[in-house]
Amino acid sequence: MPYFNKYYLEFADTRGSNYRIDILDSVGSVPTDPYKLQGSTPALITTRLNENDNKQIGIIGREITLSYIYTGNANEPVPDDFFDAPERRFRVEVRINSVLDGVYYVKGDFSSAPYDAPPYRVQIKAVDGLAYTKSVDFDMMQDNLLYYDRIDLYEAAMTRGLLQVLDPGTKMNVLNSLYPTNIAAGLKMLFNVYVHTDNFFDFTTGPLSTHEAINMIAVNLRCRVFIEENTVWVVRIQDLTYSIFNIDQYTGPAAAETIEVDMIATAGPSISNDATPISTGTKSSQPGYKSVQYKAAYRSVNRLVNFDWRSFDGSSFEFWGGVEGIERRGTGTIADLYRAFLAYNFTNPGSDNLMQEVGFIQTIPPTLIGPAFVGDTLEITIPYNFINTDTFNIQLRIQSNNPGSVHYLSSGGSWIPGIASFVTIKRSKKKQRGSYTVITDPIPTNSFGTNNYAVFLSIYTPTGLVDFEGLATAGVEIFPVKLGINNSSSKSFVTKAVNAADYSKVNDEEPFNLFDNGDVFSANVLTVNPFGDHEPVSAWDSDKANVSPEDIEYHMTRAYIDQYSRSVRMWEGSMLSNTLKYYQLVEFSHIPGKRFLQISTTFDNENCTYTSMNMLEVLEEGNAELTYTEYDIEEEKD
Amino acid sequence: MQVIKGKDFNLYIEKNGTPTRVCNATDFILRQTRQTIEISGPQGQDQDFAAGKKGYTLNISGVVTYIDGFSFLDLETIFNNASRAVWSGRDLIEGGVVHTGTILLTNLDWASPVRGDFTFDCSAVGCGPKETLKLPIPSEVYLADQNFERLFGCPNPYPISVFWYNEDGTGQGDLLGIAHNQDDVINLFNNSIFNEYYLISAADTACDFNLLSNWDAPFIPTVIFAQATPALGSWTGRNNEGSSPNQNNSELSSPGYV
Repeated sequence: MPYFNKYYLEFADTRGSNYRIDILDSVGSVPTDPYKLQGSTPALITTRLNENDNKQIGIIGREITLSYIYTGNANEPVPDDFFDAPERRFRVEVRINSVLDGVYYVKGDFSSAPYDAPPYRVQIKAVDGLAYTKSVDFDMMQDNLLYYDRIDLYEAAMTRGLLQVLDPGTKMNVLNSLYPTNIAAGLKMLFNVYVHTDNFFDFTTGPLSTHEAINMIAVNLRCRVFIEENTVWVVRIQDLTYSIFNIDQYTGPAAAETIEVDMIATAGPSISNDATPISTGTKSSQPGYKSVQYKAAYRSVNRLVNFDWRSFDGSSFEFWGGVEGIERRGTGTIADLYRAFLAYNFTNPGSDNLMQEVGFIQTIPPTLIGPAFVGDTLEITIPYNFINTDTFNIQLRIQSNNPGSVHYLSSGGSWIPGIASFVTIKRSKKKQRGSYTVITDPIPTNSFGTNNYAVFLSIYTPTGLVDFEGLATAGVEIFPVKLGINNSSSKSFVTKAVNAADYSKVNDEEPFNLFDNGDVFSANVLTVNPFGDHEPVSAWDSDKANVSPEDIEYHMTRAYIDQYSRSVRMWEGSMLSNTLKYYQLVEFSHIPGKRFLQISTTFDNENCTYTSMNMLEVLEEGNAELTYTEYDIEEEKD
Repeated sequence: MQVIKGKDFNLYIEKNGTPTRVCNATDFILRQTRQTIEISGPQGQDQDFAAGKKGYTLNISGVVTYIDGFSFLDLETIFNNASRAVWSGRDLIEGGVVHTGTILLTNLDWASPVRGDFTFDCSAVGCGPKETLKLPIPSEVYLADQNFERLFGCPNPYPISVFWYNEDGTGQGDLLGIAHNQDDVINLFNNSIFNEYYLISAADTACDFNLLSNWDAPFIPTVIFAQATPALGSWTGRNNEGSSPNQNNSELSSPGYV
């Protein structure tokens, strides 16, 4: 949306940098001259939002607090303008010595002003693009269709993620030494490792927020993501131990170069240091971890063709059988996805079905290309919307090339041999929308010596008539359907690293999402695509001597223990500086040999003072002595 | 040593854009403050500080008048309007060291004791920096003999010999050279090796000059010392033709003599 510069504030900080803060409005027309507001001390406070004192937080947003004096002048914005505005109406641009430093969006609900006669001080809070990503969905669409494919990590993080919020051309600086051993040397990791969009889309609830999507990638690589100097930084904590920092700078979807960045700042009593600690600092420690544990659910790629009802010729959906009176509804946007409408058949209710066969069976001669194997589990999600009906059936059938091997899915997820069975989906009272989701039991062995199965999914026209929706045509709308095959009998797996050192702290088990199980039909496996044919990433290596090639989930779990393999020093206090950057580590001249990572900061820009700063010591990669285990969980059912 | 007497240092506050003397003020006190930030840390047991913000306050007291200069009523007006006022403090009418800044009045008190005058007391806080301007001091000088008498022959005494001052500016010093007209005087004076602080320019007559003295000049001249010089090469009225540049008459520099 276009923004017009309406108001601005100017001040010089106590060390001579000139600040200009422009407040842009997306409502109204452009004024001839922006109006200069009278700033109030402190005019600008920059806060890093880190919810707890942990190095392992993925996304670290930034919030600013602006203050101006409202005198009652008609040209000044009344505080209510900000309080009542939607979150993206006002944009704030901060420039230091005429260089754009950050872009923020006013959050009215955080702003405050006294209930009093003017003049008084108004405080406006605004958040940067990263904090704002919580309200923006991951971009799952392309040409009005769900984009269901593998995309490279840059496209996932930036093109379909952050660039929806940040300005076009925003650069991304990545400090990461890990790379899959099956991509050629010198290739940029984010352009050559792929992730499936299925990870960012839930067939029942829709796309994830961009914040969740970025966090998923960040946590997987054990990186922190933040914006500094109007550039997105992705920094792998384990790589903060280099002496010279070479960073991949991504400037666009196909452009990247390696640059060297000064990432070490010194803090000490001399004015030549980058920061001067004020005499309030305290040194403390955070305990080491005994063990950390992550759990990942297996997630399969959808095997149905035209699952989102994209190809419709007016009477039938491509790859699906025909049904009388079938329609396609929706406009194909994320808010109004295409739906298959199965009308209530008054002559023969519930008799027709939409059917798709995954795999291929031919009895004479007996051949089978069946993608599902004994021991696999199937994952089905069918979102629906009842209209003046209350029941429809689905049927999931598996069959090898021997007709006697037919099994049907029961509503509980188990397999019934031989006898045709249906799963009946009933409307819950008057509620129209719903979703049927099941992860089946493992496919049983059969007595015919066949090992693999074709899968048949049938969705039947509705039965029970009701009159909850007035005159609307009775039927059921089926939203995009998922049928996946997990080449595993397990629902999920756990990775666990146990520290050999004696500590008692254990993390709460956390979820993670992307891994390397080698199965290209798994949606949450990372892939590479050197020859136009996706293959799973092999082990991840680094140019560091003490890093051996391992799966990404190993590196991720190891990184956690490495950084908390013993109690780590923490520094809290105030500092004077106007040159310290958030991406920089701090070395204290009186604590030689230790590097500290900035965790949360509150910076009074005008007085060049970090009024509160928390820092944690960074430990060497590979320093922990640990036991690593990975095991499957089979019992759980959805 | 130049001592500035308290009574000579005056406070002015702008009234309708014109600095106006607060002529009823009897005391004018400035307090400047500097905040400090302790940065001692682990480097030893000696305290160490970084500079924080600076500021200042003014305290003005005087007798209440309603009419003269920037009166009590004017103070009351800016107090009531909460308007910021531009002040300056100076010991000279024009030029010299001028202290200036912007203030907001924070207190305005009066007292009318039965046995004394009706007085006020006013406090103000500085808004922004207190600046110290170092301005040249303007004055007028004329060509004069050693007795500070206007030079004989003015307004056209040329050619003349032009002299610098003695150490404290109370009398004639070394010869600067011969001037045939007013421009020569200006050149000789402004470009003299003795001259560190002064700049003259032409004024109304060929004997009068405008002088700008630096704020830190050791003295402010009132005249330019000069002597009438014989008509060059033709004057024969005295034995030692020409003029003597220094006090012991050992050397003549008159071009007429050569």
